[in-house]
Amino acid sequence: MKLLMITLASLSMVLSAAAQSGIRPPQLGFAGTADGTLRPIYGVAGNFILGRPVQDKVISEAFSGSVGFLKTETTLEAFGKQGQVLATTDAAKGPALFAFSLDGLAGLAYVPSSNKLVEWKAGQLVAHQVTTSFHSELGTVVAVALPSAYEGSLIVQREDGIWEVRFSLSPERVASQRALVGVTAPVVVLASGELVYSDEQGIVLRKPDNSEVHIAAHLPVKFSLQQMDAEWVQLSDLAISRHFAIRLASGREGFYELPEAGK
Amino acid sequence: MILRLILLSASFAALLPFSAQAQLQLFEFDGTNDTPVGTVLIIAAAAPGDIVVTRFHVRDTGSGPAVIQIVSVAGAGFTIQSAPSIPYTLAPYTGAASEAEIDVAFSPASVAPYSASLVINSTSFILQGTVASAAVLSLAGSNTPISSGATVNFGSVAPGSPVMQGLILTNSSNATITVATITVTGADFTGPIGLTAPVQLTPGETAMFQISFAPQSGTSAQGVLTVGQQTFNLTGQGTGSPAPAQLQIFQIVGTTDTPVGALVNVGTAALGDTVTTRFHVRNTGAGPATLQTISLAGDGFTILSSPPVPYTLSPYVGAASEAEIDVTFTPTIAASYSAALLINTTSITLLGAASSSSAVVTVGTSTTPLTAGATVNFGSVDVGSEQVESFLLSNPSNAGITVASVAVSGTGFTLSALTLPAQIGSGQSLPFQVTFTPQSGTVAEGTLTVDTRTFNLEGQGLAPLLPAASIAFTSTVGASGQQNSISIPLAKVSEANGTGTLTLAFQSSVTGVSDDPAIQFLSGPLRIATVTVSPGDTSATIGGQSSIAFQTGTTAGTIKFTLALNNTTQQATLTIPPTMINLDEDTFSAVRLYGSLNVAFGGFDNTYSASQLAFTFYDLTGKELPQGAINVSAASAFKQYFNTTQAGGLFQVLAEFPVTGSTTLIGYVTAQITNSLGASTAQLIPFGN
Repeated sequence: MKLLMITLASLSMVLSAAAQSGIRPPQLGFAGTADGTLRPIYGVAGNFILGRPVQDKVISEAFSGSVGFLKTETTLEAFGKQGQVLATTDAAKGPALFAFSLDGLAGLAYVPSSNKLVEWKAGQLVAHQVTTSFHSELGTVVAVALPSAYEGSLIVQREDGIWEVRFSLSPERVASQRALVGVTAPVVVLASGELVYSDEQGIVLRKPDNSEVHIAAHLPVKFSLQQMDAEWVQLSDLAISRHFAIRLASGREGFYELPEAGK
Repeated sequence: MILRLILLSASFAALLPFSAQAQLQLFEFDGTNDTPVGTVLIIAAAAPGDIVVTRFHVRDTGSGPAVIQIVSVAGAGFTIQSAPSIPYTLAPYTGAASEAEIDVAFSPASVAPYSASLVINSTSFILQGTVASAAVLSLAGSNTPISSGATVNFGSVAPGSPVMQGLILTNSSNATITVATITVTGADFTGPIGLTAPVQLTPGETAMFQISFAPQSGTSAQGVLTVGQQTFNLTGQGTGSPAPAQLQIFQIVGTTDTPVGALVNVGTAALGDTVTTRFHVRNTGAGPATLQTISLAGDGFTILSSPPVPYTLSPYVGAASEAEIDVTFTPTIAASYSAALLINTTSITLLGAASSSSAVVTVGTSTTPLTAGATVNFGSVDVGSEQVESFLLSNPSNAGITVASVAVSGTGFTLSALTLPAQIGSGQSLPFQVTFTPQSGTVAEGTLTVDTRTFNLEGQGLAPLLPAASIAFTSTVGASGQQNSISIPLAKVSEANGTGTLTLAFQSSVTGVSDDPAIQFLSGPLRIATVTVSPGDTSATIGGQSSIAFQTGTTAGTIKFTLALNNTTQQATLTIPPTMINLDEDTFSAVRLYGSLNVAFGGFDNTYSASQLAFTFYDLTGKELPQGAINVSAASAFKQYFNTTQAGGLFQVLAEFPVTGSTTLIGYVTAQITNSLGASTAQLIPFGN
């Protein structure tokens, strides 16, 4: 039997200091904090520890579990699991919206102030200027998504609600549009196609099959949502310096408060 | 002495026709100008005892010489003070040097009409004197008036042994007169003592005062006493050496020491009020003096303070060498009071009077008059409540009185409505109330002023107490890896403000572990939060929120919360029991790589005692591989990790398994980890690529 040919060697490596083995605190991803820094988040659900800042003056940020984006006042950067900068490009002022591919290795950033899309693929940041005709059909962009390597989505707020506008990345043209009935901004679209938004009771996780999971939470009046790991979304109170973490793992959904940085 | 000069002139022959060849004319001279005199001249007024001198000039207005043969005056009170020797020849007038001068003195003895006839040669002039209504000054014990300009001689006095001279002012006229001023000047003279101008004297009324002569050396001294328009000379002679020890008593008036005589009027006080009179006793001699006796006898008077006797006084060199005796006067009924203050052998009569024009102020049911400056205490009153005190303005006198003003000042004190000015008839009273409504939990002070008297108001505001506060957990079940929150409900709606703190402390039950930094409040400072309570609250606010979240960390032990709020302390604890290792699926991963299998799993061990690992691999169908579980002793590795990490009991194991052959047939792995309380298992972690 073929399986019998397999030999499992010793586990002596498990305790070594090699990068791929050892004992360390579990990392939950990266989050922006009230002091404007990007920090790794360690711990498990219900017990969070803020790591040391890896970047400051951060306006927007998101992390897929493998790669992340951060936006400063003048730059857009891609960073890796250790917080290390992978690539940097100049960017217009203001915040940005981010999305990642299903494998977490590719990403899409949108800078509303310049109406510019930036792709992270193959280790590079590639900019796309959204054309005027394309833009005129949009509305207010509230989120972006990267459903495939060739398509992106803009989640836009229109008078009649939230819409998803799918478009081909090259050339840029609208491929399809659909109304996201019942969805409200702010909203985050995960690579899996799940939508994370809020209702009066708390957080709503709408799956691609339109089933929903409701996570009870007392939400701030005004907040933003950013992906902080593959199955975690950060919720930031825009009025005061409080940050929350939404656990999205199926069957383990939950709403938690992140420790405040700098105290 | 009042001097008035009159020139006698002959320029008006019709008035003074002495002769054809030699015309004499009479002029009144005022010191500067000559004014012709008619047949009647009204001269300046003089007070009884005073002397007014009128000066006349006589001129020869003719062309030849004239001889003055006769100069006479006839009439009570008038005398010729000076005149040229008779016969006196006058040359024709060419100027002042050719005039003759005649001075006539007028000195009335009493208030009555006076007239006299002034005769010059054959011409007669009528002089009419008027008497001013002025007080007559005489020495105490003598009825003889002292003329203005006269000298009062204090005699020979040894330095340090002052002499007091009593003087009496008498109104001998038929009308009320007012002596506007009485002053004494001169280095060694002090006065007036016992009488303060202005003094109003009805007909026949007298007033007494004293002048002290206290020579500083053995030389003569001069001074001046002025009584209205009258002036009197004062003189005295200091003699010999200073007495060895002489006590001199002064009344402190403001910042000035004034020698006292045998009589001191302490003034007038309203019923219930107290007037304090302060005396200084100096030793004006050269050697030490001893105060042997200080006593006071008389209703209404009390010695407030005095040096203990015997008390030795050094010779006076300044304020520090004085002794002070304070005497209070507190009348209880409307009457005149007197007392005898005895200092060694010197007796001083103290006089005082109760004012009958002031209302008596009483408070509550007390009949004891309030003394000006007294304090009315409203006691302790809760903020939001009030305390009312009733006051009564009474008139015990035989005549009606008027209360012009009643006023209250001070935060929290208010006066009930009063119509002012208010007339209070004899034996009548006027009630009013003062209300104390404290605004805060502090002492409040104010004043009540009734006309010129002021009373102090005082009250203690009491801040309402905070209702009992408690510490409430959203979950009372203590466990690691939890987020919990605290609220602070109050036993009832708060009527008070309050501030305090909620602090968090952790006591680890793991040997060798002192703390877990992850145990903290999730907003604000890590382990302390500000707690506030406002009126109307049913629960305290913590760090600006209705509750505050905290996390329980990953270390077994006890989390203690201490609430310090308005001087009270509450504590609550949450026990975090040690448990088996808690594995978290978020940390699980199994990856096939070329030549190896990587397995990760983690969670937290709140006992820090993880030791044994066991991995069991399964094929794609879920069948366990024949090698069975691979066991690894990891106790030392975990011990080293927990000793260095700042993450509490959190851990994630990353295990790499070198593989010979294809890894694609490996489907699952189960990882088991053991701590002091048992084994925990991550079941069937699927492998991915």
